[in-house]
Amino acid sequence: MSVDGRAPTATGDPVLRVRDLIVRFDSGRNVVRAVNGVSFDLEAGGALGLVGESGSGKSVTSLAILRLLPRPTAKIVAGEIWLGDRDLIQLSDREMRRLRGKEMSLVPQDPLSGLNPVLTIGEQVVETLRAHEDMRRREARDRATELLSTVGIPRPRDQLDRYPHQFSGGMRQRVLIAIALALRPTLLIADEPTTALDVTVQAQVLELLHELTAQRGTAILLISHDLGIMARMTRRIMVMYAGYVVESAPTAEIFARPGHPYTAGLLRSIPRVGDAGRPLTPIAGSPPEPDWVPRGCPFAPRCAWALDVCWHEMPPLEPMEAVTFSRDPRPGRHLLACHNPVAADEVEGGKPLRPGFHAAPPPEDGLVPQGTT
Amino acid sequence: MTAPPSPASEPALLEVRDLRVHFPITRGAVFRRTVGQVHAVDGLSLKLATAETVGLVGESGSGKTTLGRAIVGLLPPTSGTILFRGLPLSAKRAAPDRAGRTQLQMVFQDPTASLDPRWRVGASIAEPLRVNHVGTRAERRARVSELLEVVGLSPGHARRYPHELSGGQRQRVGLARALALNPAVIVADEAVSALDVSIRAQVINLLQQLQNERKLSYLFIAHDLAVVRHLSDRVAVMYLGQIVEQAAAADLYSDARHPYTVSLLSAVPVPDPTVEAGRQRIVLPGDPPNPASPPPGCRFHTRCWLRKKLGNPERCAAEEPAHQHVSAGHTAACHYAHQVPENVRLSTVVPTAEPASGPTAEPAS
Amino acid sequence: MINQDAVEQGRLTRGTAGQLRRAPWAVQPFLAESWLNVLGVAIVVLVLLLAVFGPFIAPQNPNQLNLFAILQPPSVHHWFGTDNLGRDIFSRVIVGTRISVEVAVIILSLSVTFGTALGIVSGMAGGLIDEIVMRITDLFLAFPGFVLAAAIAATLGPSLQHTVLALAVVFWPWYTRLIRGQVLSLREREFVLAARVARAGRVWIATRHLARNVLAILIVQVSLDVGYAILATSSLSFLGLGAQPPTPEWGAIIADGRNYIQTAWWWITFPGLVLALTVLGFNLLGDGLRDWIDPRLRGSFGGMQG
Repeated sequence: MSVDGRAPTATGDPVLRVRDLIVRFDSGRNVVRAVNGVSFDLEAGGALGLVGESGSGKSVTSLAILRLLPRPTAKIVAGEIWLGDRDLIQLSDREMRRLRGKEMSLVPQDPLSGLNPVLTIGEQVVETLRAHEDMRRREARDRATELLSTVGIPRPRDQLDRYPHQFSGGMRQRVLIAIALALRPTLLIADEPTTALDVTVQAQVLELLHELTAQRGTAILLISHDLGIMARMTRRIMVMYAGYVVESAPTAEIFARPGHPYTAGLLRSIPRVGDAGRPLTPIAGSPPEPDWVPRGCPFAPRCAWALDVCWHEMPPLEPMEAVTFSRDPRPGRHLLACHNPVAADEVEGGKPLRPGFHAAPPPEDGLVPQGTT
Repeated sequence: MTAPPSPASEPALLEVRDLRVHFPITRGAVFRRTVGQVHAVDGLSLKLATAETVGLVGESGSGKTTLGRAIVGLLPPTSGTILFRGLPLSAKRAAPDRAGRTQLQMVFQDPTASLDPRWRVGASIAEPLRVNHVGTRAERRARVSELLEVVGLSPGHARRYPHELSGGQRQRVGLARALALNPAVIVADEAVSALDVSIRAQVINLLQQLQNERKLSYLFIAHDLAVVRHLSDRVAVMYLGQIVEQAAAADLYSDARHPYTVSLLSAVPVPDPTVEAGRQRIVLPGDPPNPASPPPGCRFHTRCWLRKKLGNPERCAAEEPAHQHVSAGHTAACHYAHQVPENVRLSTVVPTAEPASGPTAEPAS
Repeated sequence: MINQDAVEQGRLTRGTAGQLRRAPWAVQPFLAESWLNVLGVAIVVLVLLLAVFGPFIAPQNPNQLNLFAILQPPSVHHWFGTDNLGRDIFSRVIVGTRISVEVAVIILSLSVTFGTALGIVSGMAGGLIDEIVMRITDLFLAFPGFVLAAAIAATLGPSLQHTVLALAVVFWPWYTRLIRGQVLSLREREFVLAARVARAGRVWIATRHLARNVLAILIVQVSLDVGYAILATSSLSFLGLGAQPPTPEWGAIIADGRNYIQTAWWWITFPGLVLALTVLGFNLLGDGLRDWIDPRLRGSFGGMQG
């Protein structure tokens, strides 16, 4: 996986390059800084995960890439999004419409609202196909049948004429995947694709996504709050908090050697099926309100490693020093935005182990918000 | 279906016997007629002891939410009994039952929807007290302050409205309300599922702490197997309105005997890439069948990998399996429970306390 | 834990100062939302003031005949001109404001109270009672409202009181249906379930929970309906079924003037304008309230975070 800001590696040019993306929501009543300077690369055939909770900006980032942000409240204030050799931010609506579905597509979270309830499944797949390619109706129907069978829908030809409400959630999600992959896009964005599904169905759908994207060499940008899914489906993970990328590393490294207190905290606070009652170490406090503007690092109020500087200065995203990882053959850099990273022996306990260390308290003038801009 | 044998010899705090909850399916706008029944809970038996947590897992259509609601009296059972401290609870709101019912309380999934948006939080907590004419106004106010502190909030929060609190705080308020009448049993229906990941651990820890302090029993209903494992002493797995396997938590997760449980465990994503890469996955075909028309015989037989492996024996489609004894306190409702291959069991389920079998990362200092 | 307190501090500070936390009854942000809201509120306030103080500030006696000054065009003495009996139209219109508002208030009080109560009962009871109530409601709704009101008023005999009754009969089913729908969805909300688990009875739930939660939508609907009630009353009076002479109800004034369109245009024009403006004002207020209340319930960005 190519490294942010550097020339792409030999495995392939990056399909997607995002640079310093900033997205704001302005409702007139207040301003939400949803995405604050996000940069990353996604290589052809790669699998990148965006992990975060509510307010992290992960979904907004994906919508920004697809240019599907709600207007006029949301605005891409700065940054570049390169799909191949085109800056998506500069493109017109018309040009974006041509790209969406064809070069990049989306598998949304909610299969219920992702499909039009008054059109049959067949009509929706055919519509996508014919919108981008010059196809006769019959030919499109044949392609649609083929696609439905690829995603494992039994008796696909009969199902073409049924309506979304006649399918179960898992089936609907498969149809959405079929539509998303119909035109063989180079990039697939999956936003919480299995959150609304049962565990066994989730396994089916993830298996399917994994198989299809690997088969077709589609790059996948997977967005979720579930680290378990990330462990399975991605090769690199970016952790987001309050609109910032706080850590970015190959998947195995994020789990084995997290550097950011938030990442370490998340890992320590998630119960695992295999662990017999190991105590959970929760992260104190709660995710920030969307309109809160931090002065320094946004995680400072909840951080057990906080230093004084953390309250005043936002740490830059930089390579974490001296982390070696032997399994991953590709040289992946581990990036971290933290003034006081977690040490290797502190990962297990989820707390700082330095004797006499206390998290720095907030500055005297309290956590007064900076105003709404 | 025979009831699974219980491990304890003393009478259970809460006992459910052969419970059935069916919902009629009606057609017609003017003259409604019943065309079928949804067998949401269909012959279920369960026991819960004092200070015990029983986890209830299942997917949509399993009936776990229905069971929870029937226990706290929100839904009338179609047949079967619910016994609390040995006495049957009636579904009617008749007076003589009161002492029993109020000891069973519930915490709901959606922290926002579980509080009346027009009521101050303190009023919501005090509601059970007011409705049951407990204490004077001053006493209730004191109790609300006390409860807020117990759940980790400050007494000043009583004056706030729900929209002024965060999701985690709202869920704590819901918990405080459930504790108002000093219940013996709390049914937690997906109590942490709607919370942010970083907040879940706080509420989970709080639940455990309260259980230790007050000897509370929990019926913890969830679809998240990892959370259930963490909190439960015993776990019951539901499929289409019935319990298919019941065991102590450690046993269920390391020695699952019902094919559904095995596939459920194999489907849970584990936040550890090396484990994930090495797991064997059993993917179930198709979707869970319709609770309105459950398959004949064993309800799981239409999707059962074990059945396929054993050459599709007729018994599965013809005869409903009784609970087979696997070990102490562990039963599974499968004709072939003893034929679940050991290697399958072990490779799909993550073994406990695995050492860091992956590469270790040493910082070069 | 110091970090938790810090977060708490931030929340408290924000909570009391931040706009997101304002009480729903705050007028100032509502006005700031749109100039249409300002217009609506201004008109409604003006109408209400006129209704209360009208008879005292009217320059002349509305029923004072002056046969020397019939059919006078608008002038300094008679801002809206005079009618065929020399009465000052301006004064009549002002006094008519009180009549219109009074009438609307009575109509809505009756229909809203009855309709809402029935809606709550029907929604809570379910089953046969619900079916019966809904069919009766459907029956009433099947008649074109105005025709039904006219029929009732005509049957009872033309008078303002009978008009009020007739319109109350037309309006109530809308509230029953609206409120019943709300109750059906509120019934399944978890806070109602929580109350039931606490052994709350149906009366408690209906009065303490449901009533307060339908209030918002009720207020919106009422503010819209005030305009319609006034308009309907005027229409019935126009037909001769409502206010009887010499009552200066707007519709009646317009009815009297309709033969004089070409000779005395001011007779119907000014009352007509006032009527239209009043209905507009209430509509704007109702619309503004609806937009104000809805997004607040859903959150500023409709869940577009993270």
